[in-house]
Amino acid sequence: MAGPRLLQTWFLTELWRGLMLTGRNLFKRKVTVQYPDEYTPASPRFRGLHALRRYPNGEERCIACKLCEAVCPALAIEIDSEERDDGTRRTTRYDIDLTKCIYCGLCEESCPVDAIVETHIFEFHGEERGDLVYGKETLLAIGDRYESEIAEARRKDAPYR
Amino acid sequence: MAQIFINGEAHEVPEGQMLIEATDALGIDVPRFCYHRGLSVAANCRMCLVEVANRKTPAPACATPVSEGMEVQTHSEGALEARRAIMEFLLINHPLDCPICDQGGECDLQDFALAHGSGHSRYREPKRAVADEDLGPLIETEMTRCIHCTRCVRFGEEVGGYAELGATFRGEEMEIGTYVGRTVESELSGNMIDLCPVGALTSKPYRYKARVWEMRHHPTICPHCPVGCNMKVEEVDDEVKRVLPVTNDAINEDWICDKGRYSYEAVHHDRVAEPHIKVGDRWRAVSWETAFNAALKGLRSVGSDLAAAVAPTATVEEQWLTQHLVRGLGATDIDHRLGLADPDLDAGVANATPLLGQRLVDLEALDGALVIGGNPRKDQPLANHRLRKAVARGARVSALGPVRYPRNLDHFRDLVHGPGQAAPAVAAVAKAVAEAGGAGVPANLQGADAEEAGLDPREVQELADSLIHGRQTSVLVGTLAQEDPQAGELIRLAHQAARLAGAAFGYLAAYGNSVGAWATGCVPHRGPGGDPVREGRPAAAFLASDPRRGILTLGCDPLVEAADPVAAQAAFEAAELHVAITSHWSATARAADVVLPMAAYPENEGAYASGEGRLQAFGPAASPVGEARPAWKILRVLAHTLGVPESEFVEVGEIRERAEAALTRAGIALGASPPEPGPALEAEPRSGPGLLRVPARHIYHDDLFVRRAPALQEQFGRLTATISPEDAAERGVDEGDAVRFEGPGGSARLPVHLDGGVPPGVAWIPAGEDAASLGPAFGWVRLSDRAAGRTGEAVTADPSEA
Amino acid sequence: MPSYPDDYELVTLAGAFEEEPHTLQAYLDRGGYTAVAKVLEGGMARDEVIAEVKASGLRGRGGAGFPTGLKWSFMPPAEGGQPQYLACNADEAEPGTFKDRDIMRYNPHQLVEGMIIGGYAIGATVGYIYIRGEFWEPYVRVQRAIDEAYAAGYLGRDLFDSGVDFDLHIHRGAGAYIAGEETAMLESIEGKKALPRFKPPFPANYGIFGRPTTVNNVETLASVPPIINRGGQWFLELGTPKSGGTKIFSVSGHVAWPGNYEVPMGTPFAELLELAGGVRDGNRLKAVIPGGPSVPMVPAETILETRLDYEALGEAGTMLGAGSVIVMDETTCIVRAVERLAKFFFHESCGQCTPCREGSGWLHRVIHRIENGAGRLEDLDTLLHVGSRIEGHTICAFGEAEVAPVASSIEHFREEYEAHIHGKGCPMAASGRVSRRVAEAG
Repeated sequence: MAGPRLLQTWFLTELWRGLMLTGRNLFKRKVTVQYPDEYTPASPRFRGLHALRRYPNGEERCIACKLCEAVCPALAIEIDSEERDDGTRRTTRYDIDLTKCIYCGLCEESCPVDAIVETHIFEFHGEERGDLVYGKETLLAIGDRYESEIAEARRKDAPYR
Repeated sequence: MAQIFINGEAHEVPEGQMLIEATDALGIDVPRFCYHRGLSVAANCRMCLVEVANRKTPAPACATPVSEGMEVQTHSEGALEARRAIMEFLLINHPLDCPICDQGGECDLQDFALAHGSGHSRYREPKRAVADEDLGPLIETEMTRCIHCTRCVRFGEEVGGYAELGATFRGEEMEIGTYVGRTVESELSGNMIDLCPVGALTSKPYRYKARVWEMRHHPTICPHCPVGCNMKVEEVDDEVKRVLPVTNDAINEDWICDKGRYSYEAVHHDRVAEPHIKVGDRWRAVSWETAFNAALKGLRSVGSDLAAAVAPTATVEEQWLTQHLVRGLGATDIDHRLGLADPDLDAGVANATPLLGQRLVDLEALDGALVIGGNPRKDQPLANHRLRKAVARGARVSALGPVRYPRNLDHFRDLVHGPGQAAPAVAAVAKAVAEAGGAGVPANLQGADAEEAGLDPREVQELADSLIHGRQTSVLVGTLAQEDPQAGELIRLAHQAARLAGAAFGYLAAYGNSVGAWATGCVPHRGPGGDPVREGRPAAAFLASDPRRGILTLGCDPLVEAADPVAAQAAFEAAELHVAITSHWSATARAADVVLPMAAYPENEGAYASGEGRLQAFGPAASPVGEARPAWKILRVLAHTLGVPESEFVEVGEIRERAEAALTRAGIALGASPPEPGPALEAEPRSGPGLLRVPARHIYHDDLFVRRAPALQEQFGRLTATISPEDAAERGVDEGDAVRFEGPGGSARLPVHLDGGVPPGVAWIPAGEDAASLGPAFGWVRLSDRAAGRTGEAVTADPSEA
Repeated sequence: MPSYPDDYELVTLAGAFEEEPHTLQAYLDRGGYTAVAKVLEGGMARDEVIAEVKASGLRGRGGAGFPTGLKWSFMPPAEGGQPQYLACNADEAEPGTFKDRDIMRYNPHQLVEGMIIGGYAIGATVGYIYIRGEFWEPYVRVQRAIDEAYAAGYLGRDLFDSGVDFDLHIHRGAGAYIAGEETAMLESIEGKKALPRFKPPFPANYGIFGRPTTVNNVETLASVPPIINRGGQWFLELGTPKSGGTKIFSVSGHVAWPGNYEVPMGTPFAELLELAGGVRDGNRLKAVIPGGPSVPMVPAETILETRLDYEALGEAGTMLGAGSVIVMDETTCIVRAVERLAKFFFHESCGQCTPCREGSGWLHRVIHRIENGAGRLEDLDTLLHVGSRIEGHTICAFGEAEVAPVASSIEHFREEYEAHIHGKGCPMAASGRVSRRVAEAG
């Protein structure tokens, strides 16, 4: 940018340069997402709210092996187990304290039956202390509700696992 | 000693030892599945293959004796390749169900798969699946997981005493199972679970209850029998999940019996969780303060007119403190021998502290022994294991008793005396010993006659010879003999026989901490450490004809355990005050006025004195259920508030110091001999109408804690009356019939079992809840005349009445 | 019919062509019980008997070929009152082996006499003959021979007034192949399941009921009386310097006249084949298993150049084994034959130790898959590698035995396996060239 300082001041070149930048970006593709009306696309590996899945026949997948409980670095998971009447190993309690959870995904990794998964949901709240400790029924309900999305995400990620 | 080279390093090891013993002693890791130091060598898993110089093929370390100059490679490429090979073979047919397997986390196969296995399987063919076995209420099976190491099979044959499991079929179809659809009934069966290197045999009560990595371990001592096995209680969040043995070669080696292993279930069954007082006919749960006030008020009003019954399974601290409280209140009647039917024992024998008279390991080295009136297999399973080992070495172990128990060791002579002839029978043995010894027959034995006591004189003579001619022999007085109405004579004669034979004398003590109870003064005629006290009366008196105004019970259930439960009932009814300190609801607790909940053994802390004279302390594994508190704290408050001097204890250790001092004064030490009883008197045989009852207690029914353990009770089934086939035929009774028996105190309906080991004229009815209504445990019973049947006695089983 | 040369002398099958060769009279007519008389009446010392057997070069005929005299010398001297045992292994269960059966059918007394001499030599006073359960006629004849021998005073107390006692019992097996393994046989005699024991301790130290025991094959023991009678040197000279005497070969498979042929050690295979009438239907020879399925098979070109003795067969990469020669002609599908053998070993594995229990099923299933057209090329390397992991890792020699046919067939006939894999099935079955009998049996 040549020219004496006086000329530049006189012709407002800096202003025009700024306006040019604005003008260029005026016609570029927009990146701002209007959350919550709009969402960015999420990876199938996105680690959000947990869910407990079922098999297509309605049987819960979780076998109370407690590997997720053991691996959880935040000690957010608590499980009690028993022998169900049909002789299978099942949980009587499956609690995740979402205020402790650090969403690291190790529970998902360690699960031998793909029972505990992290969904793409990241919007949830509690209004009272304790609301964010999700129990077995809640987690199963989340799994039931979002099963198609969860299964789709697993399918997409399968080649890389 | 031989010098061998392991991985290039020279080591001195005992000659003839197997290689794996040497590497274990040196801390060199050699993996194994089938080898176990307590069992014979099978060499069938091949996991311990190592390379030995100058051998073409790898050698199994478990079956290769060391020899001078041997060069061994335990971690060479060849040895590791052999391990990889074995792991691959083991895993091709092993299910991948570790996540639901209770063994997961403590599984040898899992660990070695991590160390030596491949992450990838080349096996694409169908896997084997095997149907499961029903082994009863204690052991769960998942036979597809079995890797055929045969540890359980060898355990049954070599330690359990009889083959309950075996391998059928061959090759890949080989299956471990019971031979003809039977359940496993050995009192040591739970050890098979520990032995199983995979999850084929697991604990049924523990099934799916917890994972091994989340449990905390607390070392403890088994309270149930005087062996004092070392164990650990495993717990999650204060909930006891299981009990496992802790290896102690001087006591229990690697084993514990099923009673010790499974009784923990009682911690969560039928517990008294809060203090209760009886208002009118109704129980009210109240605060500790209210309950204490009620107890204190009652105790103050009865004053010294108080009697105390203490459980022999209580800790030495609890026992010491109870007698401290009772004697501090001026009372004299205190006893732990609830089942003792001989009211004159104290007058004669004076001190019958039931010490083993030798160390447990010494039992193994015996070459002759006589067990009088006892069933060590069920009473002290791990002392019995030592005797079995002695027999395996060639020792001649004999038994003398009122019935022939189902044994698991080969007895040299297994003698059954006539009904009620226990003392004359022992006298006959003592006489035979004296005659064989050639030193002349003592005057008191002149009249003894084997035939009159119902014995074969030739067999008695052979038995006497076996006691005299052994280098190291022992005469042991069993549990039943210690409670016999003629216990005094029995003990004195047994001692005399031991003296004459030059054998060690000892007791197979009746219950858990009886030695501690004797030494801490929980007997009416001896204070702590044998200090002189104002003499009181034994339980046989104060729980029967001559009750006190007040009764204090600690951890026991006299309405089941007393020598005469019916008389005890009357004593309780006559008493104005009954304070029960108990962990569980029981007939006795329900008959009390004030119930104070105490901690059960996994929640308690204290110490037990074992039969061999060892004082073993343990700490709590969990917090007491509900409002329950350790009994020593309850007793301390009572004693302190009632103004008994020297009762300001802050921690259990202070009480233990006093109890320990008492034990020392009483001469309790490892391997100590029991005190000498007074001189023998002549014993009169007992007689009466009907069948003489033999109340040998059942292993799963002999203390309150065990009686509340569900799985053991399922294994126990119902309390049965065992009579001879002759008596049964005469009365037209068949196996399994439910028959009403009438005793001096009342009647009870019991299923009948026929066994040739019971002589005619005898009914073997264990002491227990179903038999308490019969009255005296050593009494007479008749098959009821009211019952219908051919000879007016037999009736068919009626479930509605059961 | 096959015919021996006129001057040919049968040693263990002597009398096989007589009418009633198994009776005591027939045996006495053949000069029976003179050897035991020579030993006991003639006062031969134990060491002398053992020395004679050592000189004869007699080696165990059951399969391992261990020198018999040496084995006898391992027995500790008898302690007062404690029994020692001689056990005769007549559990002839190796497929294709039937020599002991004929000795017991036609010459049972020679076995009995051999056992008396053997028992004397090793200080055993009790002998057991373990006969496999399926052998009924041999059992009847041996039992009759024992009864006759007792009646004639050849068995029992104080034989030939020498103060030597010998009792002989028959123990019948129940049909498990593994019971022919010497220590498994000892377990079976004790009344237990036939599971091989780990060695050491060897039977000479810890045998039946924990007492010193020697185990010999029927043919071995039946060879003893002639050795005593005519001297070890005579026996040795019948065969080769390192493999003395004659040997019965049980020839089966694709030959004109299958049967037992007792020929001198060192006879060329071609000669034995000729004796058996050659390959049937004029077909070409493909492969031979010279010692029963537990030894490696050899292709035709090798075996036709080989003599039948321990050393020569060893050099040819196989073993003499029990002398069960299984001849396979060009119509044989090797994969199918090996699949059948693998199935046999899978079925007969005792299940005691891991590599054999799990490996035998693996081998069989993979070969079964290949034969039925579902094979993959990498399966062949898997088979060889799995085989190498079984061999040398087991308690008894069964592990080596089950691998031998698989490994040797892949070594010599790999292209046939590959043809199965590429062609998704058996090419010979497709072309109709496979032997009908084999096809039906499979």
